[in-house]
Amino acid sequence: MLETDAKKIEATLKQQAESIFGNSRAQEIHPEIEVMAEQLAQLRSAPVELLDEP
Amino acid sequence: MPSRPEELLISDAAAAIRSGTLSPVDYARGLLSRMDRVEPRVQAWVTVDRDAVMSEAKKCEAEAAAGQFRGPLHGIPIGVKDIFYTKGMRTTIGAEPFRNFVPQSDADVVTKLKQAGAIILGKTVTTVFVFLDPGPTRNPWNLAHTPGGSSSGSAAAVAARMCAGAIGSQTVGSVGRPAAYNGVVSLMPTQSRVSLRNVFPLSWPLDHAGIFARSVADVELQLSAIAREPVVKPALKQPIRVGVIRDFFYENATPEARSLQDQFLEKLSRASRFQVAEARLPAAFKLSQAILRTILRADVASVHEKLFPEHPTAYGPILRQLIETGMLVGADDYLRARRLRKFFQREMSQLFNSFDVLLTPAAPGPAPEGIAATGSAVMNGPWTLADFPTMTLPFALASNGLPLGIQLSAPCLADGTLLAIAEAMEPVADFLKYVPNLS
Repeated sequence: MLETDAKKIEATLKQQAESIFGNSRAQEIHPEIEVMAEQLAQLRSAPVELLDEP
Repeated sequence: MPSRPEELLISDAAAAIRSGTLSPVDYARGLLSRMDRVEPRVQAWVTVDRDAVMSEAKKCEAEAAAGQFRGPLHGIPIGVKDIFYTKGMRTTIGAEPFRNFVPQSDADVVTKLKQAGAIILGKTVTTVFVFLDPGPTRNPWNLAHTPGGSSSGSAAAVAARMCAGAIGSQTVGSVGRPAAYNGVVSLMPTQSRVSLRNVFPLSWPLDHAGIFARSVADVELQLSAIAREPVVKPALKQPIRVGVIRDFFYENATPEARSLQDQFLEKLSRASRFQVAEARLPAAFKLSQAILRTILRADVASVHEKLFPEHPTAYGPILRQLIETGMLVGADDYLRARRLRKFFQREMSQLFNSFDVLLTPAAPGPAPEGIAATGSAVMNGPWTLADFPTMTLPFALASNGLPLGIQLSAPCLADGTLLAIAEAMEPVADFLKYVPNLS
């Protein structure tokens, strides 16, 4: 089950960003990560039909 | 030979070349002369090979004299955005790593333009790697303002009368927005209408070709040249049902843009051919930004997975951030976004049960001042995501003298219907009388 809470998604993304780009860069892009987390939460809460192909 | 060849529309020039009253050589020379006068200020071009242009014009002239015409664009110089590969001519993508890149083959669009008789006038400025970090181009209506992006050079070159037609591309709002800012007509066709082979990508599922001109007929002529299959323009049923979407789009528009568009809609309502009514967005519309950004992030990160680590300094801050966040998008979220796009398209398509065309502002207002940013694509992204063919028609000048455009969208693959409706609306917009002052 995918996480749908934006704050929890944000925490996970922040952790990933720190491990890939380092703490300093992760901090710099944090505002965008916040936006992204909100968007992923929105997508994960939206209805997808079985027959909706990518 | 008219005294000002740069004022000719493609349709006029093509007819004059066919009838023998316009020499392709004189026409090309006239446009190059116009370029000499205005390009130092507008900066719409990356590469112009004058010798090649004149050589092609001479070939077209000889063929025309022998009664041979390659196609509907015989002898017409066309600008091409610098992401479409051109064999033997550098293609820079607006980015340092491609500064000296010379493709071995043409993009399909370029091949088709040549087959239709067009002369590739040159390569037009794109933003860096086709995203938001701007190039040097300025808006011909006011050089202190942005021309928009990413098809900055194509839109500005047409507006500045350096060419009568140009090719661009749109992934979010890179055709509709610059068209509005520069007071020119544009079309983003349904994605499958035009091949994007040998075109530098931004996002494969979202990338679309784009066309700029000063009239709907000239857009149609270019589409007929570059489309995979002929696009049929049907006879329109009367009245033409126009669905005006205000809510989200008016919330994002300036008061002046809203007011001028409403004045235009009144004129449209008075024209007997049109039935104008309010259209309401489906609930799915609220997902559009999240779907689009998630697909875009992941695709851009994938496109640049090798280039970005090798050339980190070639990237502007906006694209760099998009790539980095794109690297964090998981496969499950990406697939969900792609599947939700289908849901979004289905829901948005329902609007066409009641309307033949949807009408919104093409940009929040006139082109913003400054060239450090390219303006907002908020009005355009939903239509690119829906893959509905979409046109911009300029219709008014704002109080600061800069153009405003309306945006028309039709169902997927109804490109012909869209062209026919835009052609019917063009006289109501009556914008050709306005010309940017670059004297």
